[in-house]
Amino acid sequence: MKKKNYNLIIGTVITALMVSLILVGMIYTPYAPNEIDGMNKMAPPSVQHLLGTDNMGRDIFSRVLAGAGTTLLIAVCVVAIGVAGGLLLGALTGYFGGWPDLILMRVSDVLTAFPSFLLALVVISIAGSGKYKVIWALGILFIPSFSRMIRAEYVRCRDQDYVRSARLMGASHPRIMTAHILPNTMPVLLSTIAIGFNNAVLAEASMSYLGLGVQPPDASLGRMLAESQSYLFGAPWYAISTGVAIVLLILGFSLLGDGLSRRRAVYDA
Amino acid sequence: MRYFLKKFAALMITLFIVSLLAFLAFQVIPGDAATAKLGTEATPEKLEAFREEMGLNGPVLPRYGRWLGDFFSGTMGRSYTYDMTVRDMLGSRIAVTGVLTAMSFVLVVLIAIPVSLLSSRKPNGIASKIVSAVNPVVMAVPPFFLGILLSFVFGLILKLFTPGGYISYSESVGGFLGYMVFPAIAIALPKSAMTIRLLRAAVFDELEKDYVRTAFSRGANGRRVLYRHVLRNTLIPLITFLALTVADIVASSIVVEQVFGVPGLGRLLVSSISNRDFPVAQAVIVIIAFVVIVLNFLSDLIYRRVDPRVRA
Amino acid sequence: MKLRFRGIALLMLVVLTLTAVLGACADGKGDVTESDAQKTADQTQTSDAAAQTGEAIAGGEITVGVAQELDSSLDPHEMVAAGTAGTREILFNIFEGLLKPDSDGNLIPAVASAYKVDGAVYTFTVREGVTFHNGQAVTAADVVYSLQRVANASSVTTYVSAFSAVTRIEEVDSRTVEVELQEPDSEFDANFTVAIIPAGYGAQSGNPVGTGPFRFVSYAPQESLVMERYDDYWGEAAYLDKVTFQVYASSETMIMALQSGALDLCAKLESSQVTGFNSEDFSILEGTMNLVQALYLNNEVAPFNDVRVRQALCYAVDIEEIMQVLADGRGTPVGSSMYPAFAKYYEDLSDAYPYDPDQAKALLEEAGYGDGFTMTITVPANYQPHVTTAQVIVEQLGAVGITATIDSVEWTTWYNDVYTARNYEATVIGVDASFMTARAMLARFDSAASNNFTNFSSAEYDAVYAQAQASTGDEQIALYKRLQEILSEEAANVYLQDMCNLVVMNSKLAGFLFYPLYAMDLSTVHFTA
Repeated sequence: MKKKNYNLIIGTVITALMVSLILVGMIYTPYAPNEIDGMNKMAPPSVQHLLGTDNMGRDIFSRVLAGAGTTLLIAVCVVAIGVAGGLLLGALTGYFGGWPDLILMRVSDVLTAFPSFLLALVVISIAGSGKYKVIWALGILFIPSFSRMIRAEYVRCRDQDYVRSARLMGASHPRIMTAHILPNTMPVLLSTIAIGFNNAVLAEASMSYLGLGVQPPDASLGRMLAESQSYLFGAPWYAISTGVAIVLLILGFSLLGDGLSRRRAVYDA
Repeated sequence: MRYFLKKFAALMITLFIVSLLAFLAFQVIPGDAATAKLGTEATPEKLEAFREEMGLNGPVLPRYGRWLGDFFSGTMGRSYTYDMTVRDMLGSRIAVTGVLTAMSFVLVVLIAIPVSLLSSRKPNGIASKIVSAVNPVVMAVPPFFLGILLSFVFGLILKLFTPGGYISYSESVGGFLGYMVFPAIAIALPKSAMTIRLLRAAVFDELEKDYVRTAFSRGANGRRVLYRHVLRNTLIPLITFLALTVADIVASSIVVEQVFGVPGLGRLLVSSISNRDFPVAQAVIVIIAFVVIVLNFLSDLIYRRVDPRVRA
Repeated sequence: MKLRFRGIALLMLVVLTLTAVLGACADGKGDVTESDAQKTADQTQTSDAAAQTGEAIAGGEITVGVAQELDSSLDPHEMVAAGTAGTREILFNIFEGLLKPDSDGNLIPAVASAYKVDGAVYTFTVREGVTFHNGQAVTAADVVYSLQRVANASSVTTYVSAFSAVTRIEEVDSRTVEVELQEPDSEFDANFTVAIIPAGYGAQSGNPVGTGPFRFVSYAPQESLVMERYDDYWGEAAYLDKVTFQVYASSETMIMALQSGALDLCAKLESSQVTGFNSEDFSILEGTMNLVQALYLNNEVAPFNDVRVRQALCYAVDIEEIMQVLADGRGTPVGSSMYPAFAKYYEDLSDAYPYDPDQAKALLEEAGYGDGFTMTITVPANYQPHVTTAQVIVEQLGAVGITATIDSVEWTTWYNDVYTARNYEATVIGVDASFMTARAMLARFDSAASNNFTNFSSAEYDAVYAQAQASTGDEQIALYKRLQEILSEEAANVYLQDMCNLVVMNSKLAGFLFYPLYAMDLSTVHFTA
């Protein structure tokens, strides 16, 4: 009996929807995201302004699209850097162990000595804020947590019987790492990526919320959410639409990731 | 025992390296405390005098040594910006952030473990389906958005508490805890959703394994299999994850503190770095590092205890 | 087993509920004002309009929201030299000088009961019965000590440059002090608002002691400053028992706290921040901020060292739009470094550079920047009005080909990097006068001034300024007006406006007065019956 993979379906739908909206938004938005209209501040949702206007009369819908695009770009870059680095480091140290493992573990300990977000906060407080600095800071600082999870998986798997038998059959280390162990780490790996994506979007939104990430007037979901707090009572749609956008973004990918890992797991059994 | 000592030594070395790195990092930042404090009034002579007095000159290692000495002394050094000892500045903030982190962590464990186990017993049951549907949504909500929503609903509308009206524990312990519950929930809910996801994935993974099938075919009770065998094997990724989670909780608390106006370490960290107030910034960094490293250390120990197959 | 886990889940639920309930109950026993706000919200029908005109009640405590971190030192003399206005306006309640300003801007005797001016010699009579917050009576010795402290040019932190004109400070007897200037200066009176502090008391920065209607209780940096009514105040006692200034790093959290009743008063808000406050629970008051908000330019950094570029920026910016966005059109545009409250000296230069993007482009072309250029505007993140203004400006500059990016930083970072180290290109901030003198608004543009953070340098300005210091009366007024004109002609900065000061206050309070300078006088604020 094959169970329908709801997660995969819903995840794909949401993600596709968000991504296509964002892509369209890159070419066309109902209003320029930064266009100010002092006469029309804090307007409730209407036909002209689907999600209303903010405290400077800017169209919230356009800004949400633009902000979502920025957040997406940053998160994808960050996760890409993190996974690439993490996979490399984690696989090597987990599988081989020995003194490279010890050194890398110590270094990784130092870097995970406090959470990547905090470290990025420190780095950005020092280096200054801005989109690209955020991407590199977060990306590099995500590597340790990825590599830690991956290493744990490799450590768990390397002493398993199938690995031993593969060695006996003369398989080379790289082959074992990629063809044998890697597929078995997939469920956890994909889960970790999904969680990593969560964290990346969260980190970017948090950074922007604190004012350290994407600078105004560029739209950024985190920054908009921060600004919307003042207007909660008078204009709750500002906070709600921005927050929901963030949630949908994360949700879509997270379901997608979950659905994918579910598929893999079934296939693997 | 030998393993314990080895790990402990490693812990100390790591802490040492962290503090050294933090110290060095601050040396390379442009702008120093002298210009910050003296301002345009400062002539080159006055700047030098200030630097001499605060010990900002001289080779790196002795300065680091002096900082270490200051740090472990009663006062933990003096702030460059404010006329206070570092200890006074850190004072209540550590307790506040500490309590918030602890409360959040407890909530995460209390929510995540029961929910995961109860819902994954029957992979196709209703409980499992509901959790599968709701969990990703909760996970996708940023803690600070949840904080804003909580403030709005429970604070402004239901008036169960006054957002922004932080009550310190010296005023009223009950009020303090009552206020902190809300930021703690804002942090805990998304994190527990993440934990649930991981735990359920791990449990499902285990349930597919041969030994489980064997146990079932031998007529073992579902519950027994779950808790004795499956849980044990899922403990490893769970504990590793939980240790990392605390670090994340500390990170989330920095942002959530801002939403609720809680005077914790977060605000202090950001502002002390901006002010180039190194003694304070370094102290905060080292303390946070200490907490996280100790937790990693503990999780390593437990990990070894639980799964003797693993030789680290 | 099953039961065990169910039990735990149930227990957890109970614990959570209990904590929340306990918290709510404990919360209720908190601040007087918080439960008052709740009661007011509940009684929607019986909204008592008489609360506005009701009896003044003595007593009560309030919490005021402050969006800016206060200075590390609370020393009032350091405040004048290099302090931030946000801290100064609070210390207004704790300290007084020989004279002090009233809400109309007139100088009234405070620590001094009387004074006479004879040419360049001031004679002050120290008031009987004035005591410091530590109980000590104020004597001439304290006055002399305080004045000498700010006149001491060798002190980096407490020296007030206006006092360089003082040649002699003498204690004539235990109740009389004479001060002699180099030459008569009709403007100098305002400088005597500098705080009088106990002689020899060295702990002002951490534990300020003054003579004002409130006395200092405690200060936790980045958190709060608490002051209590001083019952032995020589003048009319304050009404409130205690005032807590709560520092908020972000104005958004502050607004929420105000909304929920955790705060009783917040000032300097934007009109869109004010929209959610209903008129039953809150009073919304309007005044001016008494400062000059401008896009301040670092005149030493290219391309701002070219006057044509600066002028182009002036033409490119539409002040009307900024005022519309910030305060629905309220506010007063200004064209130079002076605001209308200085009735005697103010010259309206606000139409020197009307909004004209074409003219802006032409000037840029002429200066060689036909293709525009990029620039960074640094703003302090905690002041929402300045951040918003910067965003509007970015749009307006974009229309003439200038790509501006905003760098929003912490307040202290702004103060260190922009104001102190002058490491910036452009910034949006409001500048006020620490004393109500025209000199205070114009002194900083002298090329030798230590607080010339815009690096403005003009030989003509320096010459006229020196002349103005040496003259008196109408001649001096004319010269000060000339200085304003120079700033406008040279487009030293893109001057914007004297901003509208929106204050939201708990409707149970009354008595808030606007002063023509940056001061928040809490002694007149009281609860009503």
